[in-house]
Amino acid sequence: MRKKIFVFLLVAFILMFALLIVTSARKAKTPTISVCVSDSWWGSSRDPDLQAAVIREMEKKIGIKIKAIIPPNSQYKQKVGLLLNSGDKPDVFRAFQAMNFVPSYAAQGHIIPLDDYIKKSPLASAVDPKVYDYIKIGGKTYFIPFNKPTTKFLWLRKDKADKFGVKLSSTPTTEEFYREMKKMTSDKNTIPFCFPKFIDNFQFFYNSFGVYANIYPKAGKYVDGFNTPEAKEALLYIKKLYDEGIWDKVFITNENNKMRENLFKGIAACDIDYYNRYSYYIDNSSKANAETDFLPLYKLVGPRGEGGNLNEAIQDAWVITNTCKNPDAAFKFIEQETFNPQIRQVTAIGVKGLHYAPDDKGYAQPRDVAKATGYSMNPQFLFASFPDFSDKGFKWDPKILKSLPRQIQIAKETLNHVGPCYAAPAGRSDKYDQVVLSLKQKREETASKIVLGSASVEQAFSDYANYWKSIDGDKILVELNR
Amino acid sequence: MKKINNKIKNSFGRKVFVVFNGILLFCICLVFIVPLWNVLITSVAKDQDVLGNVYLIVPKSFSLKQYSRILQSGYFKSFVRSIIIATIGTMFSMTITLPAGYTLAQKNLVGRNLFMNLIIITMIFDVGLVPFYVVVRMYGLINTYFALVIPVGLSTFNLILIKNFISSIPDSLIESARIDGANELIILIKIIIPVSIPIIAAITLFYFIQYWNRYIEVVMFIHDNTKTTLQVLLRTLMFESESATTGAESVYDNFKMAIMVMGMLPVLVLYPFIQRYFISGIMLGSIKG
Repeated sequence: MRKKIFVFLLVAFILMFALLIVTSARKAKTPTISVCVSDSWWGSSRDPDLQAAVIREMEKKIGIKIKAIIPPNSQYKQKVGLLLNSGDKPDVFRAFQAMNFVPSYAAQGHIIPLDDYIKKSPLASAVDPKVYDYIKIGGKTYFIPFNKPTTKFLWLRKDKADKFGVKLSSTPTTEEFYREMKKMTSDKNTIPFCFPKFIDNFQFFYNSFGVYANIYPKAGKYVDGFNTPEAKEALLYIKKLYDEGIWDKVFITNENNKMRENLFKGIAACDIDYYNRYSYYIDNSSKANAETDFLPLYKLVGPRGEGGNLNEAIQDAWVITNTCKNPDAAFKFIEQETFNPQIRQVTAIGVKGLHYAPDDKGYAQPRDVAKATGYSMNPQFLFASFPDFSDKGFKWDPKILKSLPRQIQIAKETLNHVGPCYAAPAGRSDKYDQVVLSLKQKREETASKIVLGSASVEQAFSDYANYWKSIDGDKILVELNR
Repeated sequence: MKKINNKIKNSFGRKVFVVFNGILLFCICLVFIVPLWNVLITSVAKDQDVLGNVYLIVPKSFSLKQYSRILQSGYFKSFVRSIIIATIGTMFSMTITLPAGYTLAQKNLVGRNLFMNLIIITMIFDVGLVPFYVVVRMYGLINTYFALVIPVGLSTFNLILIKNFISSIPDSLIESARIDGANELIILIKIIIPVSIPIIAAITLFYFIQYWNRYIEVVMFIHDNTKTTLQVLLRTLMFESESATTGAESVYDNFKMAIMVMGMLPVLVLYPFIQRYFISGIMLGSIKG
């Protein structure tokens, strides 16, 4: 009897031991990576339970365990900066304003080059090489673009245009824009042109005057594109719009959402925004009882025939940090999120049945729990993302469906008016890497002083020239051109 | 019997003064009341009544939809977390601030000035967020609630107020307790605390408000958003439509105002009960340097 019990216990022990080994082996096979993205991303809902559902869905589909770091969108850049500088780096994070920050992160050694991974990946290498060319640091690629290259242009409310007799083509000249928009200044309740506080959006107007307000390669040599007669001409044009009441007088305090609200509520007649905002404006103007059509003005053609939309190129990008212990898994995560339609759909609009569910007629509608934290079923991701979403597994609401063909047309047309865009030439000059952000700040300060009238063009540019001398700007150019 | 006239004879000038004084004080009251009134009625207004650049003074509609939306967004969970953190944090802070204040109030403490100077230095020089984060991380507190309590447990300002108040307590009171055989702990508990109730109430409120409103430390030290506090949730809701890429639902003013009401509600409820200590406590603490 004792022998039987002993054998039974031995077998049970061996079985449990084997089970333990198998379980731990399975666990060991599932790599874990830490991912830092702001709270607006994880299925577009801020609800922690819904975000957890998105993470579970991704883990299941990609086969990687995700340790999520989810800061609020408004503090995201500060949090990333803190994590990088404190050495507590996540394995993967989404770099905002990639054109400026990816070169900076690379120059500081925070992120690793991904060329080898891109070469090996059929999905990542299928992307148009021009996309990667936007940001090359020492000939290497350190990022995977989060979305397709993105552009901004002007959106004009049709009801306001009709009311004031504003007649503008989709590519008017700067003079036409000034003359026609001036007609709206007689109405004290309308802001003819609403603009956000972000001065780097001035580049849309600079394009019309052949200006690229940064250090950029011109005829093979790096030059300062800001301190030029053309830039002064462009700023005087903006100042004219501002002084004569066309440009929003309080633009310097406008957040993007304030500007958008002004437009879809009908407080403003025109604004500057992303190419894929058509459905958004149609939907929100309807909700605000101010429904109208929205006309795109892709570019303003300047006095010398130049112009183009505001090319933000790579707005956000995925990057892998130099402390990542499993870059293969990190790249797999990025690759699947960016190029796999099933996964991108989950991260863009959430999980079916949790974030959204079909109504009686079978149209997908957001659920109340998701709506409470700002979720809306928005088709923007269809245009912005790389994959083709032919099999979405749901039907759009008829209102959205109605606006989609026009949005598709606009998304195609904007590609015919793409403005210039150059990445910051990081990693070539230590001095430049140190001053790149303060130089940007100085340019924006100079531009805003001129437009707001706190300094004349001469004074502001003289101040800029002094600053340029103080940072040894000419030496920076020599180093960059070496 | 002749009646005594107790009324002060009002001259014309005094009457004019009283009228103008009343008008002035009424206007000053309005400056504070009107924005609060606007916040309240905007928070219960319907969407169509807050569109455009309107400033509501007269209620146009009544709807609790925005409050219901906030309650659906995980408000209660965040609220409970905030209450727990603020309560435990306040208790922890008081537990270290009071003995520290009592110790520094001892006139015969060796190196008292040095300690005080070292403490005051932290009010003037801020180490910055990165070194702060590194220290918190070294102690393994990142992504734990301890990170929101321990590193910020002692406020120099509050410590100085308490120390000053205790210094103003007559030495004879403490001496007599010592003669009766009381040790320092007994003196603190049985003598100092009972006579320091006003300052303790004020500092408790200070600490509670500090913990309640804490934002940047929560964002920086907590990675997991199931652990964030009410202030982070409310700010997130307020700015949710700011994201450029997601095209989140737009936030109207009624929702923003409802968020404000929900955010200030607990402190608003607490404040009237201890406000009398609030003012007197600060005045008492500021008498002696």
